[in-house]
Amino acid sequence: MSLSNGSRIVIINVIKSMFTRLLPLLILATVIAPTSLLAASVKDLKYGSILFDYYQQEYFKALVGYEYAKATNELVNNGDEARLLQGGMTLSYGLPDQAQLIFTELLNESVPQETRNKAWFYLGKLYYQKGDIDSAASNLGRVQGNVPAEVADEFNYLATLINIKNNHFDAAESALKFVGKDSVYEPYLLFNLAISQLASGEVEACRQNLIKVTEFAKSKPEEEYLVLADRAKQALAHTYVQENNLLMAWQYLQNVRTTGLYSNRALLSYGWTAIKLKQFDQAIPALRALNKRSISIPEVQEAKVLLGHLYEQKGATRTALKQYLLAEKAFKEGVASILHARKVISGQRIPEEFVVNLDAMMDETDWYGSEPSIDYTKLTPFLVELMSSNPFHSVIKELRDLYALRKNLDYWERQAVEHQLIIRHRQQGLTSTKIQSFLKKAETNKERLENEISDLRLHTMTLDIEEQDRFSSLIEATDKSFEFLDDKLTKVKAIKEPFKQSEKNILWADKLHKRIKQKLAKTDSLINKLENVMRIVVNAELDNHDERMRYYWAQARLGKARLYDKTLNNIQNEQIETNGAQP
Amino acid sequence: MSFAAESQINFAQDAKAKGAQAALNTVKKLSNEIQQLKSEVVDLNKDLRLMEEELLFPTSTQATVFVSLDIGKFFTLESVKLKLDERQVATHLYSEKQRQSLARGGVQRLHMTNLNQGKHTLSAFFTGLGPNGRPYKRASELTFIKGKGSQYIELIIIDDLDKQEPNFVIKQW
Repeated sequence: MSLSNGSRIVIINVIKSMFTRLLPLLILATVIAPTSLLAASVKDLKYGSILFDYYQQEYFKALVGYEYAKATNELVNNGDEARLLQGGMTLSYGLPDQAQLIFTELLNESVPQETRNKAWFYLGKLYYQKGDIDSAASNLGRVQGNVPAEVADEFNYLATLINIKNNHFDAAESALKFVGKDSVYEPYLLFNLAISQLASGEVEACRQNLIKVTEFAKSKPEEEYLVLADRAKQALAHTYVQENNLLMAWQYLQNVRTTGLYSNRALLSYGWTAIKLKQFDQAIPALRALNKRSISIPEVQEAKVLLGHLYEQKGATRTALKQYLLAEKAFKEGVASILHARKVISGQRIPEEFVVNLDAMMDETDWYGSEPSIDYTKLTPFLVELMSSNPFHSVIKELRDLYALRKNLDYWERQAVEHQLIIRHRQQGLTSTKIQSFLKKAETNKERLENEISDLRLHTMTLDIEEQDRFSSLIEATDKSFEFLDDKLTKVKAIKEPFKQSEKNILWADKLHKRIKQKLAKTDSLINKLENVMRIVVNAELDNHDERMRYYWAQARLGKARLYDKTLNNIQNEQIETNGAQP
Repeated sequence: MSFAAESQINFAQDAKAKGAQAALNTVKKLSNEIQQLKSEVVDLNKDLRLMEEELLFPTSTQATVFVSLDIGKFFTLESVKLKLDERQVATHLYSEKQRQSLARGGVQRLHMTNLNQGKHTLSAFFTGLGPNGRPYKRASELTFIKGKGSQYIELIIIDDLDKQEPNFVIKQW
């Protein structure tokens, strides 16, 4: 279904006249149409079953379904749409080269405008994912007329992102006005825009958009938006710290939640800002809160030493010493846990379990505080930063797909054994002579059973009426079983020639079973290569943690030594004062 | 005394950056191979599915039952139970994701079996939440003649806008 909205044209023309001449790569946004009743447009059952998997983001299954339906000529009514869907699925499944071919092919054919528009959109998305912003912008710019409703939301999101990347902030701001009310994309777009504005020196505009992000979370207090609001408040604080306006920075930091993924950085910044404002007593609770958290968190490591230093500055020597001693113990344990994490990652099955369970682990909001129950969870606390890095994410994504392929091929390998069993049985199965001999035997048995039942029937007649009633239902059931047997025997008699597995099918199955083995070997080899890369990246991250941990450990030792020295000096001074100067 | 936040100490950052770059390079290098393997496995799955159906469900006896939903405003589908010639052959409990997928136009392949030519009876039992969120149970039945070729049957849940309630239809294709 396409958009047809007069107001949209007006809006676009206004924006066009404002920006197109100035900004050649500007993308125009569109208003979002109400959800269309897509069900009504589904004409083929097979096309519908592809959609069923596609909408559940089961791209592999959906792609197999598409290829299957195509091979059996069952995509009669939705040809172009299905081809476009295939392009979308291949792109989502991480096959950009194939997707590009499909979209380009669609654009060369005489397909309806709506399909062409979708193809341009998907091509734009593809280039954006490849990091080619200019090509992404020019492809989106080729969308003519109405943007199809199914992709309108995403189109707006992508167009705004590109405008932000190209520093077309005014266009992005205008486009944001057309993003649907309460759209999931809105706060992310605002945040991205604000950060780009900050990088371009538009501090005031940046602050306004960050404030909008925090307001969005107020109207929709879901965890996802609350986390984003925390980040926005930290960014706001950062802008004020840059201007040395510590009071304003502190005000925003006070409103960051003390739990959640971004609370560590916020608590530490809060502590530092309080120290700079000479509000030492205000800094202590924040640092204490951090002090209780996992030693694997960099901010916690810094807070442990900073807390000792703060007590030292306040003249609380005993408390400071205690803090340094406890910090030393914690760092020792931290270094040991890094060593343990190294052993974990070198384990054979760990990368797979780690990658497959990543979502579940990341979903636990307090995972860093919980006691790990399985080995690979001991790795997680050290990898938080790494999780958000693009290179690591690419490795994880590819590995996850490869593990899924291996699972699929393992399944088919098991099925192959069953296929061969069926084929073997059919090959050794019935011949015409065997059927005749079976029929003869079955009829003899049937006759014998009928005679026995007939005897029993006669015998029951000699019983009392009451006793006879007890048998009547049993006899009825037996009669029905005989009817069923008769029916089956008649069907077997009708078989002129028993079913034979065709040689062609047997060869076909053999060929496919060989292909399963080949692909499995290839998958294993690629998994092996990527797991090695993953180990290298993880070890580099662990090196980073190790170095940082040892640095703070040394700081804690220095603090302790300083206090011991001071105490020793004090004792010596006291002794001098008591005993007088020694010659 | 200096702290990382203040002095921006570079803790093994070079090694980390090298590791990240190595990861990116390897993924880029392997990207074509991975893409090719993915395509080949999709193709292999298609062939295996075709072969398996030929082996287990030849066209002459094949019968498939699908479930679809049109609008779905008056009914939240929770489960379906299917009986073929008075024998229960399939049940399915729906997740929210699957419900959404049906509502957007997806069609679920619920059951595939072998049937002889001739007369058969199919009964479907739907449970879920009806108008106003009340528990709702409905059954629908179809007697059909299976012909020579493969047989498709669709269980359709459709909104009856006049009566403001769901309607359950079984369609023989």
